[in-house]
Amino acid sequence: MILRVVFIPIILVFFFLSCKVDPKVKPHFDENELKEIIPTGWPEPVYRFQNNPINKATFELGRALFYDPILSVDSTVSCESCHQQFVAFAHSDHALSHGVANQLTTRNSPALFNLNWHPLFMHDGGVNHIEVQPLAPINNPIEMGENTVHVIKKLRRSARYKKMFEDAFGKGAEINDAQMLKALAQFMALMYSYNSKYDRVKRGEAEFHQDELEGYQIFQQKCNQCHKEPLFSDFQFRNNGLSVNPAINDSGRAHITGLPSDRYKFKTPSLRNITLTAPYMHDGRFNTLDQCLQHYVSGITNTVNLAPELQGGIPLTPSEIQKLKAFLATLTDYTLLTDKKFSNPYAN
Amino acid sequence: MTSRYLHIPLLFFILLSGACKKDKEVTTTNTIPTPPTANLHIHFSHQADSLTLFPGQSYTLPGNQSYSVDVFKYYISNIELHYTNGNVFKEDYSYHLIDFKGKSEIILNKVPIGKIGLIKFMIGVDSAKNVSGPQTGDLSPSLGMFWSWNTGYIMVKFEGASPQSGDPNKQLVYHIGGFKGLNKAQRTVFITLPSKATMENNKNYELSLITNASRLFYGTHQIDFSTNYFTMSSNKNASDFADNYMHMISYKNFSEQ
Repeated sequence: MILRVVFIPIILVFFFLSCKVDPKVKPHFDENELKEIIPTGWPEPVYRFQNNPINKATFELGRALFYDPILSVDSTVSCESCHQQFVAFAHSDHALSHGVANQLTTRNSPALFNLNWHPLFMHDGGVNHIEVQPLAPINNPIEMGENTVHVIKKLRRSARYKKMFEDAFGKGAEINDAQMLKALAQFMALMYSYNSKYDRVKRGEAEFHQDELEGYQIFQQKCNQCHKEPLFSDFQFRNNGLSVNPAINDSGRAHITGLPSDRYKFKTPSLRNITLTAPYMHDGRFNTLDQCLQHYVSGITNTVNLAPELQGGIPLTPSEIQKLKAFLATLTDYTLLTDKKFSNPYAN
Repeated sequence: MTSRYLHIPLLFFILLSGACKKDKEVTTTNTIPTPPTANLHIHFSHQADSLTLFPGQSYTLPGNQSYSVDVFKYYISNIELHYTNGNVFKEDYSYHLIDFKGKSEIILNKVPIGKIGLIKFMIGVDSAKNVSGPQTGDLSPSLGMFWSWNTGYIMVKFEGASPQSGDPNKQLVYHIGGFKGLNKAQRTVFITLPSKATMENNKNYELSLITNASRLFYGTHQIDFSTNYFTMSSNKNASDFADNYMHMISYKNFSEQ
């Protein structure tokens, strides 16, 4: 009898020893909090976390990097400097974002959410994969002014990062660019926004007020062609009729493709969380939604490659504008803005 | 009593220890005879036409332009050995950054023996690796061969100087890249090898190739330094350079080491 009691634990020990756990699979994987989400009715995402398995340690590493000014040359600028959670990871109150040594960039920081559905990144679509996106601001002389080699050097000097990289990528894992980029990508790719009032209405959990509903109908008639539901963008590049700022003369998409037919085209942004992400447009020229809507009504400049949808502007009455604004306000997702797992890990 | 229960854990142990073996552990090497293989070192000697290429030294081009070189790096990828018997060996994850001041050799270990008729490779990096996120090794985006603002590899990087350069500082800066469309800069190269390129079991061989830096500037397109001294993006000029460098590598020698 005694022997039987002894044998059972021994069997259990053998059981655990016989199957070695893959070091990449985290024992503290938090399945409920961190996972790929594809809301019902949404298209298939472009990025499916291929070769970047979701786990808490990688996510936390990405979070630590996202909020760490170590990525910039003089430790003054982190990703969060221009992508703040309380405004859906856009840059609050800044028309043009600024970088190291008080230098001003030429563009307005876009908001960050639902990035998995973006085929291309940046206003000009110059970056073709979420995992290489952080290289652009890190190596840009104005934004973070760093170079990747030096960033890796700095991270390697840190005992804290050594441990975090090992937690994420296995014992003895070296700190390198590819792993830093995967961690950052994982953190950003999990910034989902699908819990706005609009989404709850779609799921049958809430109802629009009358003006929101009418605003939605106007939206479907006049905006949905480019700001396509449910992501509120088709991510195509368009010239939306902004007059060209001669001081910047930003050619947009053409800067990347070199094609004259791409001059002054910029990526159509999502309208989700739009009430929070002022100022608006690629150069932040408009401070209010009213100014944006008025631009489409009466401000379209007929420059080369103007989007055919915008020829002659979009007629909207003052009452329609009010209703449209009421609808656009239903696209704000407070879950994303307050989700603790995306907050600054160094704050407390 | 004792013996009645002894077999239970034993049985469990045997069962479990067999249950979780990984695939690669199952392979037993003793029973399968190893196919005969050889090791092939591919060496690139850098020249300016017939002269050896040294940093900072001046070289004359046909048409009386001259240049000196400071940086000259390029990718060699997707290497294939085509044997005269019709077999083809393709190197796995075949991406190599060649630097005329640094690594100038590619080692292919355990390739099949036989007579190689030609070697095929790409100058540059195929489009698949330009769109798949951060890579490692020679494809690391931190090696100065990757555009972060317009994703993609620099296929060939040349930096130097010329008295004829239109640049106020007389510099020449050519970062040649772009992986898609009409202006793509990757080029596939075939080099025929003579009949002595025959490899026997367990031996080491060296295939010596010449990379002629001067061929960046003439051939299909004549490069005029006074107007064409700077390129850092994917465009027609970059693909003109690619048309030229497609012919910059040639056979020098094949020998047993």
